[in-house]
Amino acid sequence: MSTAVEAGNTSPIFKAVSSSARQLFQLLNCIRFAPKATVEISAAGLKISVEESRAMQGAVFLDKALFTSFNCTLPETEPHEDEAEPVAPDLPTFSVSLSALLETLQIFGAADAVNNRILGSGNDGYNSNIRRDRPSAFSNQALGVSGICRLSYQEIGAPLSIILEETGVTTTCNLNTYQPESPEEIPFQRDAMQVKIIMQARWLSDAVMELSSTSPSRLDITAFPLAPYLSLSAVGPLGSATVEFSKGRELLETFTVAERWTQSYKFEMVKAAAEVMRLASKVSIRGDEQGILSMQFMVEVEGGGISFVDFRFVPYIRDEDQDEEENEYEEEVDDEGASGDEDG
Amino acid sequence: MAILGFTLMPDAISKLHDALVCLGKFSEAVSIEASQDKLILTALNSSKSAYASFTLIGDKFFSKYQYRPVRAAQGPEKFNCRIYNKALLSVFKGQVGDPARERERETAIKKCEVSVEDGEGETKSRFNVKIICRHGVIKTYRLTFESVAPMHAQFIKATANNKWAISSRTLREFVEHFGPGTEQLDIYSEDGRVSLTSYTEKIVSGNEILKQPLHTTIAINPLEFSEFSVEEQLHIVISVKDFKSIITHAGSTSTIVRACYSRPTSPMQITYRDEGILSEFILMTIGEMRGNSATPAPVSRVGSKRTASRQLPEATTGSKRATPANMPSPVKAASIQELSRNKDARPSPPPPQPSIQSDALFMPIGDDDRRWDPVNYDEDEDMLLWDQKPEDVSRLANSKNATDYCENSATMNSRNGEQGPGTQSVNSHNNSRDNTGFQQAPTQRLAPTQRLSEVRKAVKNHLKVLTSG
Repeated sequence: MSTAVEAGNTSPIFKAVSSSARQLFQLLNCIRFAPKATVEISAAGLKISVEESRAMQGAVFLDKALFTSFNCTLPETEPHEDEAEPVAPDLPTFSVSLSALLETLQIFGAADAVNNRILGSGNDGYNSNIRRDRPSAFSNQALGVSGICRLSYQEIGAPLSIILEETGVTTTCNLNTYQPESPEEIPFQRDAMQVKIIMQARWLSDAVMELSSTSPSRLDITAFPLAPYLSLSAVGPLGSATVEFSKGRELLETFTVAERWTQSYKFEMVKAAAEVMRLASKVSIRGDEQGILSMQFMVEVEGGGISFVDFRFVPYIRDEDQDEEENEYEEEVDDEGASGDEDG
Repeated sequence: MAILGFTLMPDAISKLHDALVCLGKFSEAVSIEASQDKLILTALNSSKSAYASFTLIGDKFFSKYQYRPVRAAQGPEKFNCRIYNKALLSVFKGQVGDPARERERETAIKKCEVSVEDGEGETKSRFNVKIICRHGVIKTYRLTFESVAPMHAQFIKATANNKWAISSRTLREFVEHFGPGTEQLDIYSEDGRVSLTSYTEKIVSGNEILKQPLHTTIAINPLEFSEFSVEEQLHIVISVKDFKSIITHAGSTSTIVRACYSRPTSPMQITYRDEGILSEFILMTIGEMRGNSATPAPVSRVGSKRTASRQLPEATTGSKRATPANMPSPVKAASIQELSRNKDARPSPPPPQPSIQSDALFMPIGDDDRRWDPVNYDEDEDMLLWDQKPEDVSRLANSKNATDYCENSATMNSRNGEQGPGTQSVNSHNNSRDNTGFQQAPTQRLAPTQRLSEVRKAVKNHLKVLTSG
């Protein structure tokens, strides 16, 4: 840990004020699949990332535009550069309990959260089209009584303090921060990208929900240059299920694939992104040569502004048996929507 | 080569979904039987006391239906399979049910094609469902199935002479009032009104009360029924849960629910039809207490034709059950017979009495004035007005005791001492009925060896006719 920060430094590394903790909550809730999150502070905003088993990563970028005020005083890194040996990371990074952070943000507008839970209780994925987190007419935000949320991080090693003020009640929460675990990203080779699809996130959400009914362990994603273009399939104990998006033009905003691309992922992991699939308006699905899958979700949070939630998945290594299955499957596929042209 | 192929339109998918939901309340697996012109979905519950079946008529329910048996040369053979309901339900979701959501849902279903492949060697045995949605989203499911012949319950209509039919919606309204957690449903008619009583017995283990007793009686005017011909005071008891499951499904469409049954411990059949879909349920019934007090009553000539009915071998197992009279209909599944035996052995609770309030709810039509008068059985002139035959008068004198007794006793356990008058009067009653040539169906059903309870019923029934005629 860097010792570069002087104890007497009064200006905190990071200090931000948000008028809506709910937006932050919504976004962070999308990556709620691991207990701890890594927070990286930069002048442009906060990047909060979560990973599981080194096979899946989720990241949310909280742009500074989401905050009403955002001040970031990066610690002096010049002394290190002089030593020509950058010991400390370029940007202040720490790890924090994600569930605690989410709980804290939920203190705000507790009534909203309750409402939301009630609405959400009947949500079993079928009614995913009714956006679950849409503001209700009686939410505090709609009534204009929303409070203020102040986030600050004094120095490296200090707790992340969140001060919530709502209708005269002030809640101060100090969340312990931890040294970040290896913050390595799952490498996605942009230059070796083999498939790129942009589509409505709800269709992806629908498809994943549909497949989850067979309680599968593995999700196969296949992209074809011709119909059926994109197919998601899963095999479970009760049988197999496949969802095909056979009319490229209508369904897929962008569809670029040179040749048939197929990979398998752990279904549970992809399903961990179900929350953001529901919330997001669009998704960009990209796959590279190695089979790394990147899904970027565009989320329009209430109160304007667009945020991005990024997921990356490492594929399963396929063996030959599975390829045989694939071939068998291919034979069955009718050229139903063969008339559709490939979209550039 | 698909053995079976059919195509469903969204409406049919929604109906199929409803049927599957209903079947799911009976068993976790659905048996499918395909034949030339229809597809039958059945479920039999684990205790084999309830059976549900939906017959989907090939050319009505489906927009396309084709069945190609593997060995067509060997005549019409059926294709059977069994699939987990959970798997089917996840495929045939009730997505199209809510029109408001359907509009919002851009991937609404356009049609659904099902093909079943079954064969040896290369062909995999799969139940393939292809759901084609708007915008060319195609969902394909390949479900595994088990090749098992379904077990059908049989119901012999000829012996079931108690019948009623009622609008499904009306019935659903009634069912909504059944107390939550009640277990049994007693259906009987008395005094020109039909009572549906849902109740739970009190179960005590040591000092702990495991279940509180609860009775809810709904009294219905027979005019609510489109058809009603049921023996007076015949208490037939079925499971509330099963009945609710059925009525919940039936109530989703406007149809007429028909029930047929003979007597307690014999199955009850409930049927209704919707466009292209026939629903049939067979529920085992339990009867009223025939407990230790039941001794064979003197045989009346009237019911002698019923001796033709088959006797269960186990009828002799206990002297309590000295009256094998009307057997459960023979069923293909022997276990259903076993069930009836089991149920039989178990004493059913005393039939709950309707509360006084419910008495007042529905007056028999044209009977209002008299209802408010104090009941006075000694007023012979009342009886005489109705029927002046001397034998009737004398019979009434005889049966008076039995009637009073029936009216007053709360439980049936304490009736031992008073069998004499009851049985006596029934004899005379039956004989006289023969003479008068009464077209009162219920009394004809008395078996050669009568249960005391039935004897009492008959007496009471007849008296009702006389007093209220």
